Amino acid sequence: MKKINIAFIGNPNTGKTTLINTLSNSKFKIGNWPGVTVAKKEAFVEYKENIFHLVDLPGLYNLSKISDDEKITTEYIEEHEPDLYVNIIDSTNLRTNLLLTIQLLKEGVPVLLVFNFWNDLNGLGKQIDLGKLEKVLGVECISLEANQTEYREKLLEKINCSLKNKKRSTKVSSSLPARAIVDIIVDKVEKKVPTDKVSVTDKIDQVVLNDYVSVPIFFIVFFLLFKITFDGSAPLIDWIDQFINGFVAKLIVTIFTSFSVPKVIGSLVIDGFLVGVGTVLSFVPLMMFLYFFISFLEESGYIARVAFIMDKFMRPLGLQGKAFIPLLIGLGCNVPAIYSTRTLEKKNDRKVTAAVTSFVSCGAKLPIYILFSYIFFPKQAVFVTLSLYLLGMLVAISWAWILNRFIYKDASAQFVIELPTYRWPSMIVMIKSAFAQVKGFVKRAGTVITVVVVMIWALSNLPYGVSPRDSILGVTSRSVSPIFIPLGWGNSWQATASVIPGFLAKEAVVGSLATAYETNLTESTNEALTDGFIPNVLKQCVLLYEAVIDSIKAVFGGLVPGVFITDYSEDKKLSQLIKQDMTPLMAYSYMVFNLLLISCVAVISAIRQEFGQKFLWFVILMTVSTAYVFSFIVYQGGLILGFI
Amino acid sequence: MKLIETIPENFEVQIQKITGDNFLKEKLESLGLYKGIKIKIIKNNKVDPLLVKVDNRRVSISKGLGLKIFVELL
Amino acid sequence: MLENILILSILIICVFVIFKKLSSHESYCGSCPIKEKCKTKPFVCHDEGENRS
Repeated sequence: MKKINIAFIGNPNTGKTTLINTLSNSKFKIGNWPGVTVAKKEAFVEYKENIFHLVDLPGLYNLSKISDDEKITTEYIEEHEPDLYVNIIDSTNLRTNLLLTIQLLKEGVPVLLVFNFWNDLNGLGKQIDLGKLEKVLGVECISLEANQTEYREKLLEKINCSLKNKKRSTKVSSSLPARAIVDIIVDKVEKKVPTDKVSVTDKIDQVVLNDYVSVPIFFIVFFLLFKITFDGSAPLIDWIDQFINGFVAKLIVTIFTSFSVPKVIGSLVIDGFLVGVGTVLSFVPLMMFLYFFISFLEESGYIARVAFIMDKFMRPLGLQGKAFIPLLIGLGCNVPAIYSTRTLEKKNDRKVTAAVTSFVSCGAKLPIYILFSYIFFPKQAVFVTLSLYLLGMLVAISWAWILNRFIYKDASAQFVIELPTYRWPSMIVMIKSAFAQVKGFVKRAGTVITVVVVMIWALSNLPYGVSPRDSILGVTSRSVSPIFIPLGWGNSWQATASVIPGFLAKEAVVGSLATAYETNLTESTNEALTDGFIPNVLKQCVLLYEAVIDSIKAVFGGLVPGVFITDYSEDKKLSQLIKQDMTPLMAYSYMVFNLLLISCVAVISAIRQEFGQKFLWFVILMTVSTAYVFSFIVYQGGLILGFI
Repeated sequence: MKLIETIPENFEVQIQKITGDNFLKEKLESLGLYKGIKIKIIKNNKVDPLLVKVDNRRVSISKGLGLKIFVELL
Repeated sequence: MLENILILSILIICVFVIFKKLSSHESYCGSCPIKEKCKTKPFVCHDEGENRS
């Protein structure tokens, strides 16, 4: 068996991924090209006496080495020297697709041309003489529909033959510029009949980009997306939570007790390590949904329309339409939002967008709002939460304007983007893509978050045996909390103590409050497993099944996000204790503080990775001071206005 | 020759000249917009970017500095 | 007493791990297109002034 390297190259949106999917019978792998948002797709396909190693290069229009996508491709070509280039062409856009082809042929590499979307030609009144093209270019051509499996055998055979006849008789003379050559060739092989037919994409765009309807449609689409994301992931997050705390923890307690393991080690493993791992895993359902939808928006082509529609709102802020997308993603989680700023060409645009994304309230902050809203504003919980989201957006917008006006005074970026043909994306591609992204996140941030939680555990258990109040964490918080008295909530050292874990992972805030107030939000973790091992495993499986069903039900359920319908009667004791320490105004001020404070360690490390340490400190300074100032204004202002 | 910004929606034009930012010029070229090409104006209003159709491709161009596209009506 | 020593050592290990993770190549240059060529400090690809546009 001989291993053959085959690179798939072509314009964006030509169906390269779909083709690899078809050829590999969906057994492809998605990884990461460093530095770009495009995922690296590859597969191994056995055919006759060969193993084909298929690699999907990022879509590009031009081999000119300007953007990162292009650099990656040209470097791959130089380093790996594939045995064959499968150049996928969108048949409906011959002129623009052939530019890359001619450039490739000029490099003198072996090429096989695959004409995708062949069946769409008729509807557009076009015809391509493939035989003539083969003669003119001296290259083998094949036409197909990438998503139809009946072409699989045919294409694999064609690839095999191309490898055998490695004759390189390109008839491309190198004196003319590539685009001139393209013009000559297209005139020879393409015939167009004038037609009045409007393509499906154009019809959809007439609605989606309509001057009046575009923005409402956008809001509806994203409301649905977020509702599905939050509602769909909630039952799964709950399951993970009870699995870790209700099953694994108890299992460990059982094992440790039977081996008389010292209590401190038990505490380390359960209250420290396990909580850390649980926190990381609790991100997973939300991120799976989020990355799935991001993938859907990208593959379908709608995301380019979002950039187009939002451009007019971003310009007054000194940004461009594409900058809106990270802000939107930030509503789910700030971490993928930071990475998605890579799609912006200018570095300063990326920096500003990343900095203000930190003010967009992410999913992890929601439990904080829910807890405090239900304790202090039970009847207006939804409005209180929405007011916080709105505040976050306003602060983000204001900072964007300030940064662009006074610090990063670049003229707003000009852009040229393609609005691709609408395509219905493949489920498998989206799922695999989401999976790969989440895996990357867990690898990147997982260790850090877990370690941080263990650190918090250590600080709240030193010296061992004292109450949280007298631990290092408690003592430090109590000495620091006077700083927060002007913000209203400084007299609660527990609230202060929870800010630090909150700085590191917003999910940790509610749990830290429970620890600091010496209640346990979840069931006591000192119980051993009852009823035996196997019954418990079965119970977990049943619960998982139910969680999945609930998730599906929630996704297709009513229109109000379920998170607000939930009866939050979980921990009465915590609620009572907090109510003793705080007034509604203090609570709101505390929520504002957490809203504007940078989300978590994962975001910090993402910013550091993308923009360096100096800029990270700038962003930290920016968010901490903004959080403090606004919390101050809210509390003091509220007092003046007569609120309590 | 007219500036592309002056052409109303649904009109077809031929590109005569493109001046300005080289980076953007190359980007335009690789998307199929260069001298001699026929394009159709799909969207041209005061607030949104320009939207044109080349071949079967929809390209959006932000209005403003750095790029001047001169065209002739067909 | 023993517990305190244990917890303190865990704390120190944690701090060490975090520092190690944050100063790794992955952390500096996660977005670097030539990662494979650049494994040791000073990380060639990490340049604050680099303009990728």
